[in-house]
Amino acid sequence: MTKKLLSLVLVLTVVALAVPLYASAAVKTVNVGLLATISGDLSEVGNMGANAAKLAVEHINAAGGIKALGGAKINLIIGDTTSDYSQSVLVAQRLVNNNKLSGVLGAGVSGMALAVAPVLERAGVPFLTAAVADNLTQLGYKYMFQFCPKGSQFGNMQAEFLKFLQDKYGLPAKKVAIVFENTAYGQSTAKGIRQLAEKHGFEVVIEESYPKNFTDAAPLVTKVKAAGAQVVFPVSYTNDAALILGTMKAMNYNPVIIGGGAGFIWPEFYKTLGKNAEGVFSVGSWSWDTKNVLGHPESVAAVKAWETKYKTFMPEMAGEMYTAMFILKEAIEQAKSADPKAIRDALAKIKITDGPGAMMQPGVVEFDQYGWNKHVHPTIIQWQNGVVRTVYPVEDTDNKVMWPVK
Amino acid sequence: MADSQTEARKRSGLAVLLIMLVSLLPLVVQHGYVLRILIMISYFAVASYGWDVIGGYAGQLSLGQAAFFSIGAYAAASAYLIWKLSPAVGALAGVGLAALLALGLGSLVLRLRGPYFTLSTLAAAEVVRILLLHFKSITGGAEGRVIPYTGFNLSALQFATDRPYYYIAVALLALAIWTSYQVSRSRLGFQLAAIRNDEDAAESVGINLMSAKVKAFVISACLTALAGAFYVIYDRYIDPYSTCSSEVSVKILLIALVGGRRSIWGPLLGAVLLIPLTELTNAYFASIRAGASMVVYSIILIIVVLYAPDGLIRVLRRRPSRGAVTLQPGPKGRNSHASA
Repeated sequence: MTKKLLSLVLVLTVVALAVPLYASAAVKTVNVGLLATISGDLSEVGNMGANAAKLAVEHINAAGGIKALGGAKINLIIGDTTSDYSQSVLVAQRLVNNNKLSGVLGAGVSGMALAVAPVLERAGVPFLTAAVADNLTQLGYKYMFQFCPKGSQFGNMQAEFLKFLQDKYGLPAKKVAIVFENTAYGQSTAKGIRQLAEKHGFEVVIEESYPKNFTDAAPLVTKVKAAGAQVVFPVSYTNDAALILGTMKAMNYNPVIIGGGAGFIWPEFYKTLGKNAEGVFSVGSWSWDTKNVLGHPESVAAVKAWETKYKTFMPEMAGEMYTAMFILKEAIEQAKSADPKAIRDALAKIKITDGPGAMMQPGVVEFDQYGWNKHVHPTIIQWQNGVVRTVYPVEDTDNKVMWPVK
Repeated sequence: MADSQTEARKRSGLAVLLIMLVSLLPLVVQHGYVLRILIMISYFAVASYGWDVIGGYAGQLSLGQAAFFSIGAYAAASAYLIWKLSPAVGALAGVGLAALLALGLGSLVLRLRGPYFTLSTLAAAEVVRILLLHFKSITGGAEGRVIPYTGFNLSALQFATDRPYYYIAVALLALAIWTSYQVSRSRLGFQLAAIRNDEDAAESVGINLMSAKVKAFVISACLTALAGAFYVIYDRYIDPYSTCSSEVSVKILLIALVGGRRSIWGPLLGAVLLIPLTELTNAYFASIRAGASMVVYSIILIIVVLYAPDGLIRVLRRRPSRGAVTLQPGPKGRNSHASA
């Protein structure tokens, strides 16, 4: 009898929870959805993005909301996609169905962006993604906008920077190793590095992939060390990045490291590795101390607000989501409407050169016919005294490379 | 006799009512989100019915269903993207491929008993994932495969709304339920029941263990591959990590466990409860604290497993089902001695 009662209670609970989902919220404000990996494997990146989006909304609303709509406030609706793709599609569908959305931000993980894009496309909601996969904008989606650099650009920038180190600082390196996690992000980044490294006359002595979240980096590092690589290009998220670097230090192997972004530039990296992280280079989609960011008071205020609130520099994914919210806001202003179709059209012809909307380097946002921000390029950072500092390209910054790397 | 006739009449009447209800449902449900949940329920239930044939009826705990799911999905996607065939053709090819794999793999690993079999299915799924990552020209490697939406196209199974997908999913579900029903009352079903209870005893009365188990494995693989093919046709994106992971295998298995194994309605009940539950805990608890939704979900799962280890369907039913009498696991000691 108890069992029966319990099962009945369970069934009723599910039903009771389901009913209020139908009740739609009053539409007085402009609704913006955010798809973020709040829980699961990739919660680190998801939470940074969500916090930044909240901060941006706070700032926009405090400054009088959307002026073209009589000061309408932005209402941020966050969906936790978890790290499960089929779940993320459902979450996207829920956001679209239960709210009148003017736009959706997020899904910084490439696979996730690929999974949710069809839902947003069919619903006709503009989608600003920070995912880096090369093929995102080649699928003919009209509502998807990729405002950040593409994966293959990362490799390009890393190889270019290596050349710069050689020319300017006399780095004698010829032999390079590429180490990447075997995922969409890892593969497309590695592809770019290989092509460019060879073009610039470097010898790729070893190219090794490893499974995401692996537990023993010793075999990998041994191989790389044995191949005699003087420069290593690792592409990893934080756990793997820390594991690889820690193993290298343990083996007393100290090549120049030019990381492939993600795990190498987030605050967690320094927390895990401490002093061992000093001097490590990495490419990244965005960094907080370039001229286009520090040259604008509103952007500086954003960076400072983040520092005060979260006690770290503003990391890549946070900067991206902050600026994405402002890009969308700008589009709503120009469309003079909360209608997603009108906002999509405004995004297609937008050109932002100023303010937090233009925080992506080099400081201009303009989408090509495929929806990619055609001006954007990645930057190279170096860990200096526990903070990531932009060191390349030179037109973006006056910061100096800390050289030699210990 | 008369009793069983009225029973049969009552059942067919119920079936007609059910079919009408199911086919009219999308006309009432205008909400795309709810429709999507219904579709997810259907295809996960199909995969779970597949698991139930080997994991339930045959009692061989497979943790490698993701391999079959992925083969179905990749076959449908590749047929369409590379060879320009209808994904429906690809789906059939995928079912064929999965059957072949189950035949080959099953002939080897079904000789193993208990946890040894389970571990080898887990390993097989890992191998399939590594192969999917390796053969980039066909599978797209880690970047996966996207089926771009090109507007309504019947042969490509692309529809502007979710309604046609719903009907396809329900048709597949009906096929899966029918298969489960057929297995349960067939000669094979009884052989499997005997095997489940005691392999040695079953063999001593003349049952060809391997033949029966392999048959069950093949049927299981076919249904699961079918679900996988539908998944990619509907969701349009696959990659090795999301479709060929142990998470997928476990999800498929949990649905049958919670709903009830060896039951014609068990996997469906499991899907009807678990799929919305995942989604509802996410909708309600995700905003409270990161991971809160998963904690709530897990607690509910633990309660179900504690109080209804044979599945909720057996708790909801007044009398134990016909199969339930023989549910008691066989003398474990003897089995493990035999396999050691």
